[in-house]
Amino acid sequence: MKLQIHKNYKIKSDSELVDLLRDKKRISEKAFEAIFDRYSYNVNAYVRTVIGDADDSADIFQETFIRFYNNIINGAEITNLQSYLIKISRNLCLNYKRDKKNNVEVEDFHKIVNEENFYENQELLEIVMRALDLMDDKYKEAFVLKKIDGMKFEEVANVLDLTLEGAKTRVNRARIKLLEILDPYIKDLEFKDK
Amino acid sequence: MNINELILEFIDGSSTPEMDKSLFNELANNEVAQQKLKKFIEIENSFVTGNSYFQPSAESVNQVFTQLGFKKTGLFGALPFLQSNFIRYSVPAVMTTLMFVFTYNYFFNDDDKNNLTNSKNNLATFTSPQINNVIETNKNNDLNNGMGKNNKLSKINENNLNNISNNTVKYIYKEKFVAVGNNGNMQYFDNKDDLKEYFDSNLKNETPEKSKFSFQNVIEINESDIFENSLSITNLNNNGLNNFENKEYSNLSIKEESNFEFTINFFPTFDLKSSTMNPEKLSSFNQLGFNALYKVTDKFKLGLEIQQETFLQKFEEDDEFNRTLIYTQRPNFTNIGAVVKYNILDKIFVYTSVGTNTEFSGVYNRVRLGREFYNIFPLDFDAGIEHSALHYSFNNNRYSSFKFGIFFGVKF
Repeated sequence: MKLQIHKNYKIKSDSELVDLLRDKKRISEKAFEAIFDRYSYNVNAYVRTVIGDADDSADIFQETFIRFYNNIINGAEITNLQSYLIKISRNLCLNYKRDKKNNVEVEDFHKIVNEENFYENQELLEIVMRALDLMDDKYKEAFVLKKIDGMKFEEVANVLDLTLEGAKTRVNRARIKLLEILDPYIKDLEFKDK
Repeated sequence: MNINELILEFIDGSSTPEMDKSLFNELANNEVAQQKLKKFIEIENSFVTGNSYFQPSAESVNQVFTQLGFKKTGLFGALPFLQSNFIRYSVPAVMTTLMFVFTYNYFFNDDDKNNLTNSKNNLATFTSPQINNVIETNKNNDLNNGMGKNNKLSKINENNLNNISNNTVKYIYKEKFVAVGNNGNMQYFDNKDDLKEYFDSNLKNETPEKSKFSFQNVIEINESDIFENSLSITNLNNNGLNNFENKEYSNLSIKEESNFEFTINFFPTFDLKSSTMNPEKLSSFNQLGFNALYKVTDKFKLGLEIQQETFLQKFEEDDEFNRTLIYTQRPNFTNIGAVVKYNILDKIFVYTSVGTNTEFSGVYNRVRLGREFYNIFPLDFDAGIEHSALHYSFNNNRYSSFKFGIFFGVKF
């Protein structure tokens, strides 16, 4: 008989893993690890994009999973695990942002990107993330949920408490805005590797 | 619907046939639309290729698990730069080896240092009158022009003495027969019959007694014979040359010994846990291994090994209904590890290794106690007993499998 070690919890569904979180500690620990491995990237992507600051976003990322675990232990019922995690992190981000103002201006972005051949030395993703900082949070988070976390428009609408059409509009406006900001810098790129 | 919306619907795969038709018409005639499509795709692609960009830091991961009282699977589970299985298992292997080397040097190396000092002292005796006389005799007979042409012993002098340790030389002893001409030219033969044949065919009218040729035995000094128990020049002096005194000798040859040792091993072993479990298919090279060692000192060698072998694994887990499931398997492993070999006596050695397998499913360690045999058939061998273990984890529980057996190695 051949057996893949360490794989069994990774093939369980979200709802199975959530149920196992309430089991005895040894099983709960393994279920949590499987959930963490499955969604930590998505949560971190959302928090990093919305918050920007690496230290603050790390705090919110950690708090998200600790709150999630405690909520489940205390009997919280969930239907969509990823959306639930993102909602926790979103609430934490909103609390954090309440007293903060995004002071980045378009001129600042152009200045940063033009300095020291920034564009030539950075991955396009890095530049896109800088450009996202210029947007309102409502567009930024819609964009990251759809394009980075890979959510469906229905899930984006659920997390952001929007209609399906509203979620779609926000994501597409973010994409168009992003293109406008990056347009001068993508000109030189133009499929250079192709 | 404007061109932006058409492009985005198309990229999302949610466009209708009518939208597609409008988009393609626009793209056919509008260069700006073509550029927009390319740029939208380029931005979308940046998220596909930047997959590690949002990976949480090791510190964040550790914080989460620590605050919940959990631990991440694996020794370095939460450290991204150590999350590669190879790194996870090779780091302890390297660390163990370094600890052994440190311990060895700290506690035992004085002995080796003394040996080295002694060997230099021994080399010093090489300059004693007795030995010098041997060399002079050789020179007088012009024998160094023959077999001793590459002979190192004759090149040793007080100036280079400190650069030569007895770890670098090996003595070869073999009796040969030589015909030495009056002009000093020599012809060597392995036995007297060959010598006679030479004379019969080339010097028909000359007998040894009458000819310009003289006969001598040529002696090479062989570690496995008269110097079996020693590599020191002192013993060469005290034992070897005394043995020579009653013989006619004409040469003294010293060969340089390589600092590398390569061995192919066969190691039949059995599991200490009883089991009827047999692999579906055994590797063609099962219980065969290869190691390459570097001689750090005369007694101490470091290197690498690669071996094909099986370990019986038994592990268990509780299912969701609190039933305990026991799993048994015996996979074919290709194990790669770091090796330390130490000669505790002249030919008795301890061999230890630690490493992982190519599937990175655990860490193994091996201990061997063996004896070396030289110049048989005419190869070198070693053989002895071994004990090995594989340590692995399953669902955060740690398990070990043990084997015991013998090994047999051919060196080259």
